[in-house]
Amino acid sequence: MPKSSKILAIDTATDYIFLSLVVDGVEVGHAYQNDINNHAVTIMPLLDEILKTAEVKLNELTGVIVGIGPGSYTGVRIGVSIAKMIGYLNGIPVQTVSTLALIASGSEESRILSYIDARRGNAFLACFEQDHGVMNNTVPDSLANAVVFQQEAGNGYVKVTEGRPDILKVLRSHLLRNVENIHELVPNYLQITEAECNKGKK
Amino acid sequence: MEIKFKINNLPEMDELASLIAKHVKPGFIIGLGGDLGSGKTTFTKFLAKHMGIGEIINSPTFTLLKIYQHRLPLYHMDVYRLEQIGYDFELDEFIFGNGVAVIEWYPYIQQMLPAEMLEMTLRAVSETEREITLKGSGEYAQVVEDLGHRYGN
Repeated sequence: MPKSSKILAIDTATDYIFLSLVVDGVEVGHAYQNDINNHAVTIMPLLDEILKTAEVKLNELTGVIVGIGPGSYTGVRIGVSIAKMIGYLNGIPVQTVSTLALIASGSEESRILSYIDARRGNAFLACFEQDHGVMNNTVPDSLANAVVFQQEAGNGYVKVTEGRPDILKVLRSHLLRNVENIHELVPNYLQITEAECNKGKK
Repeated sequence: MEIKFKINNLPEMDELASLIAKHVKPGFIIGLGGDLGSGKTTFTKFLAKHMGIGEIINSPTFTLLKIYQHRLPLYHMDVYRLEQIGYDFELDEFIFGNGVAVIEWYPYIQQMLPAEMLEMTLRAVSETEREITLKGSGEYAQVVEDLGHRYGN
């Protein structure tokens, strides 16, 4: 009997914590809940419950998919750290996906503007088109003035700000990137602090 | 809208905090400016008390942020240490959060703060007297105006 595929998806870069377990192409467990500023507390018990209910052990996973932002500066690191830990300790391949792509995947619109408020008039934005349940990224993840972007690059797209990701759609689409070296896996913040800006200058 | 007035002692600081506490609501932002020892943390202690927070408030100079969970949470920040470093986006979730954000040394990160907030600057006049400047635009102009009635501007 061929080894079955057991994939865990994690995203903590928005107000919602998202976990999904896909076994042989079927989503057998998931969590999608708003627990603003509390992801670090809730993620492990949720993950534990999903795995136990599906009778899957961590080291049986065949892949981990993690949302790497952009999104919450604090939140994104929780999911990325956990994915990294699971991948490294168990030798499981990790793939990354844009948090904006995850948000878009929950929508049935054919042209989607995925949107996360970045405050100060800005937003994290990306555009997607979908046809027969397969999504394509048409405008890459950007940090831009929310109004200007929607009028220009995002014109003709339907704005989507939240929704439970459709992990099967994500798996069907070409939105995942393989992580070659687990130690180099970092969030995609899109905005960097002044400290980081200045780091290379001295 | 801007007013300037003097308070003479700690009980008057307590009173000022109680008057401001009447206006706070989710998303309310108070920036505190003024030198070391001008009373920024003291003001915050009184404010917390009038918000019904029973915990001991101390300066978050070294932690940047302290969270006081309450019916209306208080996010007490001190961004003094960010002067040379610049903004930390981790603060966004609290400054633009569901509680009351009090930001000591707010001028250091002013370009990252919303234009509409309550700006309060304290200046030591003597051991106990403080000159207070309160500034606010938008919704906060009303708060300043209300306080102006009490402080005679």
